[in-house]
Parts: sequence; structure tokens; C-alpha cells
Amino acid sequence: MSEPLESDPSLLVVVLDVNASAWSKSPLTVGNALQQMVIFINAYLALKPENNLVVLAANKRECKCLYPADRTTTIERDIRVYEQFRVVDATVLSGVQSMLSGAEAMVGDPNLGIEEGQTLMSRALSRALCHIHRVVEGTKSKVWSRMLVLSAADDAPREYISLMNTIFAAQRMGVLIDICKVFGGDSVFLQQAAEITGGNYLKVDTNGESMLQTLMFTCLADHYTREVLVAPTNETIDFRATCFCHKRVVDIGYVCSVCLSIFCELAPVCSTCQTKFSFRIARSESAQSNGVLKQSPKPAAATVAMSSLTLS
Amino acid sequence: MAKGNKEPADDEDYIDIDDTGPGDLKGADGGYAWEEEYKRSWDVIQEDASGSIQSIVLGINDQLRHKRRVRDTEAIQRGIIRHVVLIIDQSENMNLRDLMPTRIQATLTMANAFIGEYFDQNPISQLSIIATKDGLAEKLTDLSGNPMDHLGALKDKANKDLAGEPSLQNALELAMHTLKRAPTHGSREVVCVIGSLTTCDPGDIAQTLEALKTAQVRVSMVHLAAEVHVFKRICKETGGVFYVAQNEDNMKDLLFENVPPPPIVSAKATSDMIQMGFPIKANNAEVPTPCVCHHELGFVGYICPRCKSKVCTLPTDCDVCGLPLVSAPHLARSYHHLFPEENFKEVVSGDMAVDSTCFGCGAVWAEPLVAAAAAAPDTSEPGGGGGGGGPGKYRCPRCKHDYCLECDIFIHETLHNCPGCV
Amino acid sequence: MATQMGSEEEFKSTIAEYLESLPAQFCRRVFSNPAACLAIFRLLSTVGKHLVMSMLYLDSAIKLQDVYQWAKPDHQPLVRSKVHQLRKLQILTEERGNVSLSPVFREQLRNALTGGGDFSSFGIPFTGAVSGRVSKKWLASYANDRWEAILHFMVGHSADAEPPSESVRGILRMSRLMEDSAEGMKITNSGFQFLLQDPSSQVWTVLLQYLRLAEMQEMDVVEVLNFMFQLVSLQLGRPYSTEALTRNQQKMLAELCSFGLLYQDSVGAPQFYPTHLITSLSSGSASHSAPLSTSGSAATGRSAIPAASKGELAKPSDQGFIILETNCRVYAYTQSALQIAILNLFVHLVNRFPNFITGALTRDSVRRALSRGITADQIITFLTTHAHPQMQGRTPVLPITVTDQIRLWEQERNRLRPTAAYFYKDFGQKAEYERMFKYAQDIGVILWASNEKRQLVVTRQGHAKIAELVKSQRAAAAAAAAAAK
Repeated sequence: MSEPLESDPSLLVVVLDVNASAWSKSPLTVGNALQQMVIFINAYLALKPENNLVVLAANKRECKCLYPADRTTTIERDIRVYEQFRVVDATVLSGVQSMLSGAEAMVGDPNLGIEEGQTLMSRALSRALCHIHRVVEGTKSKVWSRMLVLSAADDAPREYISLMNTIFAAQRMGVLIDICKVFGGDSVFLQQAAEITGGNYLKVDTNGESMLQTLMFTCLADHYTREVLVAPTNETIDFRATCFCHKRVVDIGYVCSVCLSIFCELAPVCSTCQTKFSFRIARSESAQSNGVLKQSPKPAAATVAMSSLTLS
Repeated sequence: MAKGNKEPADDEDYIDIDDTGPGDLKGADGGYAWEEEYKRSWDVIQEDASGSIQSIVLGINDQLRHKRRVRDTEAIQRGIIRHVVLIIDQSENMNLRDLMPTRIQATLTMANAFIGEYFDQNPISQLSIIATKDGLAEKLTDLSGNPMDHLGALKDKANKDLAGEPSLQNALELAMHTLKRAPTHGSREVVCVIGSLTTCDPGDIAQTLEALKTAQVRVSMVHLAAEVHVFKRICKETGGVFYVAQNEDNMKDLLFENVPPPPIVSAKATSDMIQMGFPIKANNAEVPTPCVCHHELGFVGYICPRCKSKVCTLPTDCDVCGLPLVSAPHLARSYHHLFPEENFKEVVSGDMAVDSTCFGCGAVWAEPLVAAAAAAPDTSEPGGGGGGGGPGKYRCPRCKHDYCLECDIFIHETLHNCPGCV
Repeated sequence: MATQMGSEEEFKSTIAEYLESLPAQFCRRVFSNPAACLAIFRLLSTVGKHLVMSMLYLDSAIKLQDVYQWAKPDHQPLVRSKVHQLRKLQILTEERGNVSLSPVFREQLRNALTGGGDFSSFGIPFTGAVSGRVSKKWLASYANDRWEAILHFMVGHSADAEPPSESVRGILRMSRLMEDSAEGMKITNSGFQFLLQDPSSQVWTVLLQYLRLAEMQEMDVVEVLNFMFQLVSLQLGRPYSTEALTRNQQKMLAELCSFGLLYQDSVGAPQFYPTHLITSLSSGSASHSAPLSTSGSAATGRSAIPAASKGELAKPSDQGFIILETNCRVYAYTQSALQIAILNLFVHLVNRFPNFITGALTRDSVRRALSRGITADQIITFLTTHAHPQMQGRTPVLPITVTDQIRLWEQERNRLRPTAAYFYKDFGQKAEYERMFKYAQDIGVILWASNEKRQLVVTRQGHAKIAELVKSQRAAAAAAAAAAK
């Protein structure tokens, strides 16, 4: 991949998490956070006139593209604000408003397995990548794209595989994913997204006063600037796996050769794909020649269904 | 001593290069392709009402692209842990210039791309490269999971000299010897890129074929010139595929068919629990320490959980105790092979419109624009302007969302997620 | 914005340099306008912008050293130079080793982003009835006609058309793009260079000249500047009210209209329209690069993003039309007499057809251009930006053989280079010469030396040091001699 040039335009996809129930627990109100986000978006647009922007919003039930919108909303003219900013701001804010209010009105839940405080994050990221793909394919010159995710909700374990697929696709496309987690615990999935794609993972302090400053400092930089300036160091992420059977963090685990499920002890049958194992541990030759390990296979409860997969 | 067999022996054995491409040897009337009237590729192109050929060319391209990406999506067992030997012909035949700039250059470029793609899609698999020239076979790299080793070997000038005749038998024997070390739970595959029509072998290649079958090695081949009976037979009998490349692009497609893991067909393949280490990243060292893999000093590294030695990249095998070291994301990278996304179906005009725009990228459907732009009626594309269906619209059978062709291809080739289904 | 400026003095000064030259209190007044702050911000380099944004919402000053620490070790000098530039522009202020954004600038840039502050800074929209004929398309053709008429006038092909207004000619004369001669006005060498620039650089040049003119006429520069920045941030195709404009601004409005940068129905009309020539200044030189938008291919595209409309505005002459072959032949698909005249500056034209001309780059034709002060880089840039879409896809766009050849032709002319120097001769002893030679070699100031003749030519900078050395040695020798006695 070529080096980013100073003159290359960028594409930013902002993914907003507008899960009402998740935000209700947050000390930082959704309105306040959005205000700061809108200023950030304006700052991004101010950087380069060629800069391209897509804003997506997702909650528990749906994922919508707020900007560029399909319909041109009539916006009251406000002479104080630069035209370009106003269009974006108005569309984004009204879109979020309608999603926040619309979410409560809706009955029936098509997305089973997603709890109230969780968001369709992998759908939002997938669509974001589709947008990026389209813009990159449709432009002759090089466009450097990145993503900024404002996340409030918790991880949905169901989304692990799809989210990982998305992250790897982003990595292949050279898309940086910046994460701004507003409150609550660290999102393990999104942390990995930032780590694998080379983006930043930010955790906003409780009242969120410094959110804008942090965003401006870390997430505004384009690919070129990130080459020049020091990025804040992410905390070391533990890439160790959790076993499917007991949810224990394992150093050395056993992996089903067919479906790659991770187990902490030997089992006769893979609980995920029902493959019967031959009773021996496969080891590469050098390990056998070194004779480092002798372990007797012991039968284990293999009936635990794979309900979720988490990483510590 | 096996020889290139240019004429098919009988109708049973006749060669089926690629039943999708125009390379079918047998035409519709049952005769051989060369007996038919010569088909010119430009005959299919016809001007539309306004005298432009752009729309029809676009249409053909779209069809081709859509066809290319329609894949087998059944959830079948696939050998995720693969051991592949890449055999590259380095005989004098590779000096021909029918592929630009030369066969060998084109092959090496493709091989580079193949290696990158292979390790991207099969992070816990291994590869080895064997070259054959002067009737001998030479191992360029041993089985290893580090793409850098292989790319480096291909870059090495000394490995680019061409000489004499290739020896398929020697190369296959060497490959078999290499693959013997591979554990049984992983797949054993050989991928050959051959430009020569002959092979110069010391013994009976049929015996090698038997040995390959017993060792459950799957041999696939991409030939750069023409079909050779013995090559085809080896591929067929070991469960692999034999292709003849028509041009550089076609060659890439054919070679890259070997990138996704093949389905497990043999009942004899065993499944195992593989012991793997999940090392912790260590970057808090005060002084740089050497890694066991390259003996280079560095601050960052991964500590093998069993022997506590430091390696610098993942995934790899620990050089001290041999434990395969991976990180959880590496395993996750292979999941899309196990749970593939279903093929989207092209929306026909009768169907109800669900989305007003492409669900992926939000693009507005093309027809109204096209209809407005080209006022002249376009008879070649019925259903245009109906709003319901039309060309360039594909629907996911699970979530019933519509996508444009661009997103369809992107979703299946890169993303492996349908945004509507997740 | 104006990075491709030539070597002549007039062309070096960019708007940023002009701002740097303003005294501090002037700057503060310029900054008191959100539109101006935003426009100035957009003129900064990418790293500069990022430094400003990083500090925009910091309330307290931070240590200058800490700012340097933001850069990766390899890029420290770059960041230092950017910080220096920001300080020269008065955007950064330093106090006892701590830096912060200038308070006025910070407040107004924040206002620009959040929509607070002085409400008229982004122009007051005209609310009265407007005539329907002013569309974006119409404005574009109006502006292009006006602008090209001026360029035509410069290349002297407008004998039949009426010459531009007196104020336009005044600015052309003052900027020495043209000069008076016996047979009317004649284009100068810098005028030729001006022609080869991309439109946005040309517009900036004109605006800068206007600023100079304002200075000379003792108008309030800040007023002019603020109005200029306001114009730059206006929205294309919208009518704006002239009500709140001062007398000077009204005057400026009329003059910019004659350049085609703005449009007014009639002199003194209550509304005016900005054209794409001036609005594209804030949105970059988008006339050549394809506008970015989600409208990927034409078939499935849409124009939800306002910027997407720019592509439609580009006249055929604005798109690439030149094909350059490796054998130096040039094919240009154009009917525009202006473009042909410009090409004629450095291309040997061979055939002319109704919509197409052929020609070749020859040594003579390029040397003719070079002798007019046009640089090889300017020729290459012109050909690159106007390359036919068929050529645009390649990297590099132009055949490398041709670009090299043009540069070689330029170098041919630069065989002699004067350097101020000092000539040393008549060394008494060989040892003295060698000592001096070695010293001069060590500090790298030798231009020419001859060991046989014991002669030495050093640069002017080197002379001072060598003179010192000679002096100290003479003194040492004298002391030694005195001691020996």
C-alpha cells in the first residue's frame, strides 16, 4: 500500500450508537454527546473541502444512514453557520431524534438474541464498509478511509463472528477504526477492532466533558497526520482465548480441527460441530521429539452448547 | 516415462477445461471447438439504439462478475488447517512470452499474490514451495506458516533461473515427502503451476500417483499452455482440479480457486483436538531481547505459554517447543469458511421492491437514472424502470434485503457478512 | 493552495505569506470574524490544521516542548516548522515557553464550528425576489466567459472583443502581468507564468494584487480581507444581500464582478451571487480533481452531497484535453482559442482542425518558453492537470521520457551559475596552501582549487572563516617568531 500523501482526501464514516436504553444509564446525556460529535464532524469537514462524510446510526433494532440522506430535508436557513456544516448537522440531529423516538414506538422484536442494552454494531460496521467500498471504487484518486464509532451499548456475544469478519475486512481495506466508548465497561470486541485495524480506542471519562477535546486530539488526524504525530498508546490487549466449555481464559488450549472451537480440556466429541475426535493430541513433530508434554486424555463434559464466545 | 498426450484418447477422457468459460472443447452441436465456425469475441457486442456500446459492455461485465462470485455456499466441513505445497515449473518452457511479460514472470507475480491471499484466508495453515527444472525438484521453502519466508524465497534471484525440462514425478515425490510430516487432521494439498507439455521422470509416474492416493494428497494444477493427459489424470484421481489458463486474468482466477479451503471428501480424514498456545503480548521490557525465530532484538514479542520463549509474530510455531502459537482473532479469521454467506439472487421484475436503495451502500437503483439519461427505449433490458426489479439488483434470501452488484461482490469476497442478516 | 508558484518575486507571495506580514493588531481584527478564521484555517497545512484542532478545546496553555513531543521522532523538524508558521500567522501565541491559540482566533473558530458569534460573517442571504435566470449553470458560464475574456486579452487574441474594464487593466498592470507598450498593453514574462497556473492560483494572485491595491489606496486592509474571506465561504448559486456592506466593500464588489468572480444583475443591485471561481477557493482546486461523492459510477450515482454538483459545472475546456505521447507529440482536443494560445507558448503547433490540434514539444519550442521565464515544472504541471482522462489513470500521468527531456532542456540553459566568491593566490609556502586547502575542504566551501598553481576559490561564507584562520596563524607565527628571538 502506498504512503498517504498530504493532499489525499479522506473518507470518514461516523457510526453513532443511539440505543436509548443504553444511553439512559449513561451519566453523559445522548444530547450532550451528540452536540460534541457534531462539532467534531464540523471540524472534520473544515479540514479539507474534499473530505467525504457518511453518518450511520444504529440501535437495537435498526441501522440507518443519516448522511447523506435519501431525501433532502428542508432546513431552516441559519445564516450564522457555514452552509455545508448546517446541512450535515441538521440531517444528523433530526435523524437521531427520529430514531430515538421511533425506537420506543416500535413493538415486536425482530432481532432475537440481542438484549435491550445492545446495539446492532456489526450491521452498522458492515454497512459502513459497504459505503467505504463504494466511495473507494467510485473514485479514481486514492481515498483514505477511516471509521469512528461512538459506542454506548454493551457487546452482544452473538455478534462475535460477524464483527470479527467485519474487522478483518476493514483491515484488508486499510480502514482504521477509532472507537469512542462513552461509559460502562470496555467493549472487548471494539477494542480488538481498534487494535487490529490500527485505530485508537478511547474511553471517555464519566461526565464526558473532555470527550470533544479527546476526539479532536486523537480521532481527527487523517492517515497522513497519523504518520507524523504520535498516537496515544492503546492498552495492551489480551488476545488470549476463552474456552467454549467453561469460559476460562486459557494459555494452552485444544482446538477442534474442523470448526476451530476452543476447549480447555480434551473431549471425545466437539460440542460445537459434533465431530468425533480420534483419541490423541495432535502435536507437530518437533514437539514430539522434544517430548515436552505427556498428557493423558481425559473425557470431559462435552455437552455444553456453544452459547457465546468471549475473549478476555 | 510419461509423455504429454496432446490428443484425447477417447471421449471419456476428454478434457473439460472450464465449463463456464468459452474454452469448452466441445461445442453445442457435439463437435470439437476447433471444428466449429470461429467465434469472434466482438460478435456479441451490439450497438444499442444510440449507437453506443457502453451499456452492453457494462452489462456483459456485470454478468461475468456476478457469475464469478457465485460460489458453493453449503455449510460443509472444510479442512481449515491446510498444508499446501506449491510446485512451480522452472523449465525453459517458462520463458515463452504468451503470458506477459514471460510465463515465469507472470507465474511469480501470481504466486506472490497467491501466498498473500492464502495466508490471509488460512492463517493457521502452512505452505511450502518446490521448484522443478533440469529434471530435478528443489525445495525452495519448507512447510512454514510465515508468508515472509515464502515471499523472500520467490524474490531470490537465484530461484528464477530456468533450465531444461521439468520433472513432475520428482516434484510430487518431494512434495509427498514434505507433506508426510504434516499431521493427519490437516489437509494435504499440492498446487502446481506448469508451463511444460512434457515431464522428464526417472520412473513410472503411475506409481507416484498410487502413492499420492494412499497418502491422501490432493493435487491441483494450472497449466499455462494446454491440457496434458497425465497431468489431468493425476489431478482427477487425487480429487483435485486441472485447469488451463487462457490469459493472465484467467490464470489468477484459476490459481486463486485454491485459496479457500477445499471441502473434506475423504472419510479417512481424522479430526483431532489440536493443542495450541495463546501467547500474551509482552512489550513492557526495559531492554530489547532477541526472539527465538529470527534472533533479532526487539521490545515487542509474544511469550510462548509453554516454554516462555519469545517469538516476534503470530501465528507461528514456537521454535523451541513446537507449540502452534495463535491469537484468538486468527482463529476467528477462518470462521467465514465455516459459515459462508448465501448467494444472493438476482431480483426479477415481478418481485416486490423492499428497499428503495441498496441496503449496503445506500445507492439509488440505477434504472430511473438510466431511463432518464437514455431517452431512447432500450429493448435489450426488459423490466427497466419498473421499480421492482431489473438488472444490478440482488436479494439476500435470508433477510430479503436488496443489494447492488458492487455490494454483492464486496459482501461475498471481502466482508463475508450480510449486513441485513447480522 | 499556491504551491506551484514560479520563481518570480510576485508569484512567491501567497495569501499566507501576506497574512504573516500583517502586524499583530491587524491579525487580531481579521480573526474577529468566524468566516475569516475558517478560511485561514483551511489555508494551513494538514499538520498545522491538526495542531490547531488539538489545541482548540484546550483551555490552558501547554508547554511548547510538549507540542513538539506530539510528533514522531523522524518528523520533529516538520512539526517545529509548522509551529513556527502558526506563530508567524499569530494563530499561536507563546508566553514563557507555553503556547496557546490566540484567544480571538480560538473563540471565532469555535464559533465557526458551532454556529455562534457574529451572525453576518458568512454573508447575509438576500430574501427579496430574484430573477429566475441565475442558475448555477448560468453562473458558471458567466464566470468562465468573463475570466477567459481576461486571459484572452492577456494573450492578445481579443482584438475583436472589447477590452476588459479599466480596473481590471489596472490590476493587470500593477501586478506586472502586463505592461504598457507602444501598441497597447503587452504580456510580460510573469504574465506567461500566470497563464500556466491552475485557475484557483490565478484567482488568488488577482485577490492578492487587489489587497496591494487597497493598501496603496489606503483602504482598510482588514475590511478588504474580511470581505474576501466572507466571499470565499459563500454558497454557490445563492443570492446574497449587499445591504450591510461598507462603501469600500461595495467598491470591491463591483471590481470583482468585472473579473467574473461575482455576479450582480446591475451595478448597485441589492443582491449579488458568488461564482464557482471564488467559492472553489475554499473547497480546493476541485476543478481538476473529480469531485468526491457517494455517486460512484454515473449509472448508479446520486448527488446528495452538495459538492457533487461541481462536476457538472466544469466546462469541457476545464477537463483534460491533452494527450502527450512518448515521442513528444501533443494532441489537444480543444476549440478554445485561449487554450491553443497557451499551448502555443511551449508547443510547436503543426496542424489545426475544427476541434483538435496536433503539435510537438521540440527543443526550440520549449526553449522559447523557458526564455520567457516559464519553468519546466510549470510546463509539466500544466500538461499534467490538463491531461486527457485517458491519460489520467496512469502513474505518472505524463510519459517519463518527455518530462525528463523537458527538465534536461531547462538544465541546458542553466550551465552557468554565478556565485559570489573569493579568490586566493600567491601562497608563499606549499604547507600554507595545503593547510588552507584542507581547512576549506573540511568546512566545505571550496568552489575550485588548483594544486599546481596553488590557487583557491571559496564561497563568500567561507571567506570569513578562512580569513580568521589566516589571521590566527599569522598571529601564532608572529608569536612563535617573537618567542624564538
